[in-house]
Amino acid sequence: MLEAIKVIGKSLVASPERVREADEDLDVVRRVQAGDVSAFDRLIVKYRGRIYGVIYNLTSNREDAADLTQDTFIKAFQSINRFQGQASFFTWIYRIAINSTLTHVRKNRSRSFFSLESINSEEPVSREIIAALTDKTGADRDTHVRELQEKLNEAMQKLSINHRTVVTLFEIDGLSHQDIAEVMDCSVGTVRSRLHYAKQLLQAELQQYISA
Amino acid sequence: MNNGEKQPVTVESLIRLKRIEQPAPEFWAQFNSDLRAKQLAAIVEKPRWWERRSRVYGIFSRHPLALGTAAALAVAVFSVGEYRGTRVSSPVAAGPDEDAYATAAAAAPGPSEAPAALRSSPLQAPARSAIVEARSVPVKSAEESYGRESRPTAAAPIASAAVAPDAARDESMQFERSDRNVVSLGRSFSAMNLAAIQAAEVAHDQFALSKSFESPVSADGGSQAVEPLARMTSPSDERRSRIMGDAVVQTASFEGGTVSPSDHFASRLPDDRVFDSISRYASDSDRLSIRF
Repeated sequence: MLEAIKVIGKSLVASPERVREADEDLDVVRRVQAGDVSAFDRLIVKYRGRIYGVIYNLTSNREDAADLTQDTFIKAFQSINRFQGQASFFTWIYRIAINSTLTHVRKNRSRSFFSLESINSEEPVSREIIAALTDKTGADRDTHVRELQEKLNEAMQKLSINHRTVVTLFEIDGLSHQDIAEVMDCSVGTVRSRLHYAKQLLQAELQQYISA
Repeated sequence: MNNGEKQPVTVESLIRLKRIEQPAPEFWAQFNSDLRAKQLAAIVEKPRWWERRSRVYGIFSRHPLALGTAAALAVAVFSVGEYRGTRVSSPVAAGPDEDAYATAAAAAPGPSEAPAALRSSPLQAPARSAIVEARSVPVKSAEESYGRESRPTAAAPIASAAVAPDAARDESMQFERSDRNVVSLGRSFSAMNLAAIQAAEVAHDQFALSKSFESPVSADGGSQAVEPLARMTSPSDERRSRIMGDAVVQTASFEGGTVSPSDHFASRLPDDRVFDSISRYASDSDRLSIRF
């Protein structure tokens, strides 16, 4: 239990699932540190989708997201011996991913073109929203989904990189304020403030899609 | 689904649409192969210099408290050393005559020879000579001491009291300059204190001698016959010598080589004002107060 608390690190709110997940990750990391390199593949398979999703939503570019996700895992693999378990592996690798992405975005600030993934419109969550929007505007469904997707990405890219990161981690990835604060190395208050401000900006940008 | 069952579209619901922007399953096969190739390349590739440097920084970041404490201690020790060096090397009343004195003293082969630069400052000359004499001859007569000056002044004992610690510091600085690699800081302080006490004793003896006789000084330095009335000292002189003798000892022993502003002020006073205000001196067990 003590080790689990240590793994969670500074997180004040830790669900049992999170504790168990952190324990499992730590076991795998210990195996990798002991020389079992193939054990790292488990971590890759486990986290690649989430890492890719975060980076993709920050960059709005598929190719960049793929490259940065691979770089994230390579950096994590190279420095796995420095991981001491003071934070969870999840927080650690998220931090690597966020830092790599921030560096990439700041370096390529002038270059911005989107290459978007397709939205699975048959998902229950998206189906309701898309149906509501389609009924409201009366436009063609696929065209409307594509337009909405582009508009969403444009609105996200208008945010600063810090605000974009907070929105991505909270609204899209579902992290808690505390987890975001750990990943971004800032206070919870800063996270809340950024989130509030980012939502205000997004609301102004997406006003035409939002119900009155 | 009719319009009555529709949920309102909010910013949050729109943003959550991005959750379902997922790559196709075949994407991950390509992703894995690319990642494997990059891993192999990273293993084969020699780490660059900044990566090696970042590893060194990583070692430092693991023990920030210990390394920070060590760095703070090092800075503190260095700062204290620099501060002490600054205090020793910056005399309070540094002037051109002192530099000349230091140069002359450094050039002089022995302490018994009085430097020529001493004569340039009549007021401070007795103190300087007292220092020199303290190193060579313990006590000399006041007549001999006054003989070096162009005019004997009553303020000279005050000046000696004021400058004696300063001169002692000059002495210690001379030791440092002549043998900088050998003389330590503590030794220079002890030498300074010793010289100050010796200077005070010499000045006290001079006052005692001046009580017994005061003879005019001829041009050739010899003393002439003095009338008996001239040998008598006035009560004010006696009081002055007694009080100033105590004052010199107390100044030398308690100020520890520093020159206070009141001493500088007293050294600039004319003789008549010193005689007028001599009654305003008060000496307690541990202090000397002068009321002007």
